[in-house]
Amino acid sequence: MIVLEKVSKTYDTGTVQVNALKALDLVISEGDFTSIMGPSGSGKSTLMNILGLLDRPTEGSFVLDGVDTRSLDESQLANLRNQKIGFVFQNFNLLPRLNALRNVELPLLYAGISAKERRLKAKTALERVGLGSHINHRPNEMSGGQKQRVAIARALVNNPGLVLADEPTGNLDSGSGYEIMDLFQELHQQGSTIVLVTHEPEIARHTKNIIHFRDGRLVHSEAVAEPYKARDRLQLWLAQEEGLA
Amino acid sequence: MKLKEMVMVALEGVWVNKLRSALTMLGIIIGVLSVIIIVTLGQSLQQQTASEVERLGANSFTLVAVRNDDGQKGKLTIEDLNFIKDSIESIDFIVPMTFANSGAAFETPRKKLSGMLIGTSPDYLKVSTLGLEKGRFFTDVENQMGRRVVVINQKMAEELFGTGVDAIGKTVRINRIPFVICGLSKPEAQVMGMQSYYSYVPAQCVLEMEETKEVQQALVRVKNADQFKAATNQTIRMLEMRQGVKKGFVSQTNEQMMAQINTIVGAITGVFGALAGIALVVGGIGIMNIMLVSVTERTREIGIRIAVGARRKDILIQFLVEALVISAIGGMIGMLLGIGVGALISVFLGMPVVISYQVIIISFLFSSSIGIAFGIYPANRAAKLDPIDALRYE
Repeated sequence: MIVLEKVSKTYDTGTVQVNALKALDLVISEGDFTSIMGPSGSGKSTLMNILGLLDRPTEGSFVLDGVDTRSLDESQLANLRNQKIGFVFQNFNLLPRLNALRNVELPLLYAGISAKERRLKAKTALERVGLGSHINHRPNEMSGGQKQRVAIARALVNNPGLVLADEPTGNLDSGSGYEIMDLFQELHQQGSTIVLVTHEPEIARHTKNIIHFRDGRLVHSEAVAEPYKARDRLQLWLAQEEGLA
Repeated sequence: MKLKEMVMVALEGVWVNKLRSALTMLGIIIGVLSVIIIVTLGQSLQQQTASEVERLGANSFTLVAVRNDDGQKGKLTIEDLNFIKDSIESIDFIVPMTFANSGAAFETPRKKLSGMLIGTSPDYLKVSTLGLEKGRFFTDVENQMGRRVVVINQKMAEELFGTGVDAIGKTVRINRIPFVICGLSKPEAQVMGMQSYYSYVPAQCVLEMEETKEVQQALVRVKNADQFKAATNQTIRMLEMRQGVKKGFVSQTNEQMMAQINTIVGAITGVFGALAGIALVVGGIGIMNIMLVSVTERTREIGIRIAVGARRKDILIQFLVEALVISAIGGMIGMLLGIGVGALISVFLGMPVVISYQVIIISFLFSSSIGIAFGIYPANRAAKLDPIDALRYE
């Protein structure tokens, strides 16, 4: 459960003060599947950084699962990131010199889990995203879609509860994009809370709620009546592609 | 994260940039190598001095004639030495030592060589390691008569007469005076790698050549250690009374000699050791340099690690351990090479090999602390990165 109350974020660039977020109130319940939309500079990324505990609000409070994050020090925040939050980035952010398995193991390493258990959990996570046969591949030996799935496996491996995805389909072709969205929908059904930033309305239509941002404010919030099913969209797209070819 | 895991992560970091890590290590290797070589050599030299003194025995002192404040000089003649020996009961024997000041030319019809000529007595054998390959040392009688007999080095004999020729009984002209060879000596221990040909003749012969009656010094052996001090004082007083010269003689014990040499060797070792230490510090700067590059290159990696839950402490330790691993491995390699090279040089210079475990441990710890000292700044920089900027870093 995420509760933001009057959260503001001001960046002091030296000459001008940028108000990236202005007194934002937001509640995201457990099990929600929310997408955040808005033009660049609207405060989406700032919100994601705050939700991900990589940044602190200038004002206001962020309560995550009943814990007021203002009271936590750096190492406690790191702990929360490790245990409760999984990140998925637009550019995957995998470590290039590690294979898929080792990349997925990374959060477990900082959780202090033994090597044997790490391996097992990482393997399970990779199987869960359909990459059981790619555990020894390095990022440069994989397609964009596969890399993003490794990243999702990494986000899931610690059973974090909250997955923050910042433009996860932004660097992917439509087909891979649908596959990733399918994966997110599956995770959602299994109970994960997912917050996803996108600027593609079609991708947002796969989620349950859409929040629109502009100039650091939440301007509009809508429930998606009938979310797209990524698997159907994928079939449709494949048929189209075949038709074009 | 457990320490073992941190070390593994750091080892990976070192391994990924093999060449770069190796070159960085080289700085530390050279530093540790030079420190260990220099200290090993210094200690070998001191050890050699100590064993030399031990051989001469604690009951010996060297007697030298000096000029006193009034400008008078004591004299050490063979007669004086004989007189002392006969007068002082506690003296075992006295070995005169006198050298041909401008060296000596050795000449046969075949060849001409230069070498060192020492005038002494047969008792010399009791205080030196000189070993005979063939023949004999000159006798007491030959010595007293001042017979022109010589013991020359085996190698020298080969050069003078040719390999395989028996030189015993043959004549060699030393400074144009013919001497009969009575013995061939084994090669002597080298001093700091300098090999000289020493030849031994009765002291009387050298005195004649140099047209003097005074020997340069004498080695006095006392029978018992408890008589040592008394014998020393008695000898000097007797010589002063005999010649009427006050403060014309000085005695030097082997301990004093050793202390002097050790002081000098210690100072030289210290100076060169400090220079080698500078090499080690330069190596440390190399580590700092490469770690700073590494931190910049891996900015995004740091961001990712923080995002998945690494604490700043974890990042700090990762880079610190990486610097430590480079310096410790470098230190270890330098240590092994240093021991090897130090031992080789010692053997080559004919000195006993002394490997000081203190020095090895200290230089290893020192190189490791250099890794930490110079690794802290880059590691701290890595730990302080803003994860948001780091994740965006291209």
